[in-house]
Amino acid sequence: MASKTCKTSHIQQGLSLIVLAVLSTMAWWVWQKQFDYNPAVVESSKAVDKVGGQMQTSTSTRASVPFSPADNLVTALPNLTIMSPPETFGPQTLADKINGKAELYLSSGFKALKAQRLALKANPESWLEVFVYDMGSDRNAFAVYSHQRRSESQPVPEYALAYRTANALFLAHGAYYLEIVASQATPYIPLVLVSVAEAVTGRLGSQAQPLVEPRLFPTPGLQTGTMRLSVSNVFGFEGLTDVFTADYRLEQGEATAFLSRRGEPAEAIQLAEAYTGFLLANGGQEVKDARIPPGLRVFNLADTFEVVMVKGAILAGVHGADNQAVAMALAAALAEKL
Amino acid sequence: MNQTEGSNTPVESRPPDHGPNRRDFVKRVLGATLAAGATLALGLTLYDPVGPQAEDDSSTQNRVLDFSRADSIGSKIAIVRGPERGGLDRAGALSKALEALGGVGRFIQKGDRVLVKVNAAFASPPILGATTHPDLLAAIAGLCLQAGAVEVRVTDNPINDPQSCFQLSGLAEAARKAGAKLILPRSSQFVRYNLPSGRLIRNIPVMLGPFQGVTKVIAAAPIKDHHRAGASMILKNWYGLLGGQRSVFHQNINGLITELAMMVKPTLAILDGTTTMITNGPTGGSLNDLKATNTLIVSTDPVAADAAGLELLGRQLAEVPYILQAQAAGAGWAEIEKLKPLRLTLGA
Repeated sequence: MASKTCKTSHIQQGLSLIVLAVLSTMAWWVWQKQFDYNPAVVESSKAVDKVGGQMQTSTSTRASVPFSPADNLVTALPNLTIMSPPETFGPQTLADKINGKAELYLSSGFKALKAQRLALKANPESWLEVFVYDMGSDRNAFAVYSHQRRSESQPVPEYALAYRTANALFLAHGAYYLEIVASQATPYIPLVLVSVAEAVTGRLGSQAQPLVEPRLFPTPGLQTGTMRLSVSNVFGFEGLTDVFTADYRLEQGEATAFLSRRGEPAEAIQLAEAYTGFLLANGGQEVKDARIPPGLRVFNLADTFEVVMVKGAILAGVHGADNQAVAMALAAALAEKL
Repeated sequence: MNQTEGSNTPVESRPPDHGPNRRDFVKRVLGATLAAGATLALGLTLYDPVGPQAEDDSSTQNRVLDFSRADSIGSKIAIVRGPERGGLDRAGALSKALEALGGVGRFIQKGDRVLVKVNAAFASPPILGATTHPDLLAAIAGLCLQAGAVEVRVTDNPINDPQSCFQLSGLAEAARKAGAKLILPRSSQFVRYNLPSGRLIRNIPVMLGPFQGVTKVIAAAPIKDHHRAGASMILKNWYGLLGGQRSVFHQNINGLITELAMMVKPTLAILDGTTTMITNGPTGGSLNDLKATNTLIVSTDPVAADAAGLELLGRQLAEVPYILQAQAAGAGWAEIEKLKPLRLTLGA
């Protein structure tokens, strides 16, 4: 007795081939990906840009510095000569250039780095390296700029967000963070640094409006150069992101003021509740005092004082105050400014 | 008329593409089950919960690179401070430290081939303190050759382009002038390496080529803040022997550095604290990142050297976990006071 197997239809055969093709593609991708693992890329892929209060997630990893890879960073400066070709780095290769420091940039929305060395024609042993970091937004650029602020530096009058030291110049220009580092600290180096900065920023073009938040901080007692933007995990609280801080020294003591502009008032209120809950969960004790104005909540945490308030869509307050008096004084000044 | 078992309809009279009969159905189910079972069995066979194991063949190295004199000399440390003003003469401080430890001849003998593992990680000028200072390298090489070494080699596998790094850091010129041989990394110098009892250093490329025929190893590094590890000194300096995608180890950098401390035991560890990069490490970039600490640390114990260097950084041991972890792993002593450090002053 002969058996007769049933032929599959063309549709079934076609579907089978499609399934096999998909499985093969997946297997190939998995095999290929295991040679390309870099955990640093995870941070970069989650880079967050805040535009107009709306959170956007940027997944682009393509270098976006506005020079083509072959372009020299600086052209037409008569006292400088090109020392080496430009180098370009993306999120996956940034650590190849700056090693352990890459994490600071990757967690702040880094897109691309272009770097190049230039030598002084008058003294070829004196050279400098220019780093142009595309941070994707002016806030991200300010974050990395502010977190690496050196003390005892000199302002650079040509720029709102810039400072220089004996051998280097650092500035935030819109979405870009620039470092210009010289191999020697000679009297003429500051002039060279500024001229290079002007040449590079000239090519980057005019940038977005200055950040609003720094101007919301009260001026009396503000310690120069302490304004910072922290993008995540501020004060140890995971929910606190995108926070400006500045250090103060008042008559009553020292403290840090902070503020964070949220999308809308309801979000600011929600975040304030979450943050105060965090303070209480970590040993903070709320201070009940008739002198505390309505709308302010004061906490005593490990011998320092914290103040939390909401003004419209802004969460603000005081962190790490030496005593209640300085916490209240700074909070009052901040509330008045807001 | 033909009939199949279990079917009342003769085969010939069944319309075409009717579908499988019971036998065909059973065959297909059986076939599919066998295929699924075979796939599952294959998956279980390939499943590896512990990761790559040590290869037991001669193409993979697995010996600890032990050049220490711990057995004969023990753990010793000398800390030389320069005058409050005027900086530190690195060559003078090195000579003084070695003299206090028993003289250079106690470590380097006639006929020795010495490898100096520097930190040339970045194409950075010497003033920024991100790399081993060329003056220190020159002093080390000079003393070794004077003591009778037949060869002094200098090497590192930098983060950036090796030629630029050695050139712009001044190390290439210093090596040349001192009569040392610079060994730039080449793929042929890397071999697959397994650290005995290591969890992370398993079957990864390590630059062992420069170690061929070497009898003594000296580690020479600056003291730096490090954004990821907390500090970069002698133990972190061994990172420069790794090849491949070594940045993946940043996820467990303390564990990796601890294993590096177990992998390489140098004859001498020389930690340059003439200036200390106290912030914005490991690259720095501004002279403001540096503090003049005017100190040179020389030790037979690399863990002790790092512990002493940490004091210049103004950090506690708890802030840089790999140092205590290295001590726990038996790579050296972090509690330097137990070693009775020799504290010396150079000049006045």
